[in-house]
Amino acid sequence: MKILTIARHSFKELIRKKDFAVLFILFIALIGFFYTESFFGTSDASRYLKDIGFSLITLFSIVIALTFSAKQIPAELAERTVYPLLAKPVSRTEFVLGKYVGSVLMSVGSFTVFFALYAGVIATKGEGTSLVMLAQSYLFGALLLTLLSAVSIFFSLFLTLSANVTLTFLIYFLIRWVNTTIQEVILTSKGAVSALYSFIYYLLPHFEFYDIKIRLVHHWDPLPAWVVCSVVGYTVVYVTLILWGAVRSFKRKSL
Amino acid sequence: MKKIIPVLLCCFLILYLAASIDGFFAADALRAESAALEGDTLYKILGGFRDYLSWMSLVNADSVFHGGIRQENCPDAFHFSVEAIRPASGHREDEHDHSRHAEDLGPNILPKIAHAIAVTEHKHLTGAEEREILPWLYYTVKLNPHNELAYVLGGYWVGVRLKKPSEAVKFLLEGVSNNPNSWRIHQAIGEVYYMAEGDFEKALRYLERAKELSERENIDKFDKRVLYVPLAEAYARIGKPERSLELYEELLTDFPNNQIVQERIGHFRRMIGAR
Repeated sequence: MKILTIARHSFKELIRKKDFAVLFILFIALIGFFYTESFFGTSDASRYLKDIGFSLITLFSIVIALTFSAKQIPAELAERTVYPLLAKPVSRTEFVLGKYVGSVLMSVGSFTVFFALYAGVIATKGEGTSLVMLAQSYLFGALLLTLLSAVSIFFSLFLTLSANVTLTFLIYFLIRWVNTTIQEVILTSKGAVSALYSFIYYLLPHFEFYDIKIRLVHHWDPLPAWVVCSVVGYTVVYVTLILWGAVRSFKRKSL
Repeated sequence: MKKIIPVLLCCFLILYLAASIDGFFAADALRAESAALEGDTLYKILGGFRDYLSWMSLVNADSVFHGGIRQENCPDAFHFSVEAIRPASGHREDEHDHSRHAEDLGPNILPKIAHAIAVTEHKHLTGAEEREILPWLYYTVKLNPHNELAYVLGGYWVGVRLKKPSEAVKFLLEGVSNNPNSWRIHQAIGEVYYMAEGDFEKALRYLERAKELSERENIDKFDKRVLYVPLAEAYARIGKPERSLELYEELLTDFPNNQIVQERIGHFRRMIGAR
């Protein structure tokens, strides 16, 4: 209950700021521009719109998730508002979890608005899209933001806002880039090398799991239920571990 | 967030200034090459970065043709263009298997999930779906009007595959105005007139111009074949088999064992002999 109260407070505070509105207007302007384009006398092509639109909503939602999560705890510490809060019967665990839930609500909420507009736009142009695939894309997008918010909350206990945002962005893109290579090394090597790379592979968050844009844009089959359940399970486990680490670090932190 | 917006604005300003400085020094050269670029805001804003984006857009066209999959690990990557440029060397969907099979992954659960999520099958767009590559070809030349390959590919896919020859010619003529010395684009216009329009006189006009321009460059024998075959066939269509024979005989010096070239020479010799 206390967690939800802190989350609601964070969510309201974030709503008051205009960041989301700026990105939303930018998104409408960009998607409107691409929607009205016609190529060689035909306006039936639609996969470019799905591709660009999905990349934009993912990027904007990640920006919102990272910047909001990264400043939650440092802002409370800098403005010293954390002291009256912790003086009340609110534990440090509840404080961290509340901030995390607030960040997730905000980033997933923003993503939902972006996604609703995106789904409406792509449904009216060209070949349409599968509802199952659309639902899976939404779920995976929300899971990605849940994981990224946790990573960002964790780093915010050690890093400044800008360092945190930069590092999390770097980790996100780097992991997307190297994970397939690491996977290949594990599968082609043996002994200590394979064990070392396996350790790294299992330790790093698998952001590539959440990218199903190709399936959505190019009309591939939806993912089987076991894969969806595995990714949900993986996210729950990974987020729990990160938050456990964050809570432990915050408990040890001298305020 | 408040800090990010000024940073983005600064980046945008720097890009714009860089493009303006670049444009100042290159202005004469650009004017000489193309008047069309002067009014292109995108071209001005992005400066040198446009070449990279243009290339990425072309790579995207290839990946769209393959159902969204990048062909980085494929030995003949970027082959959606092959069919347009060198038809004889195209490939089929079943020729490549880019996937690692699930049973190769052993007991590792995470690689199994990654494998199940990734799309690894090899497919090509067919029929009306082929129009999906057009936006990327369009953006390729918008970003870099000197990308001859994108004009040639756009002309082929729009004119020959999607049966819109007038749109293809319009696009290719824009390519000619930006690249007046490109033999490839002239050849592409000739090919559209020949294959899609059946207008052999117009085809010959552009193919002859392409031949003339190609003689200023050191083109390889494969490019020569791409140019000479439609030229020879167009001459045959307007009742000039002697010229067709000359062109095929010239090709025979480069491809002495090519059966098709030999057959066409035999065909034209018989045709001339029968007169």
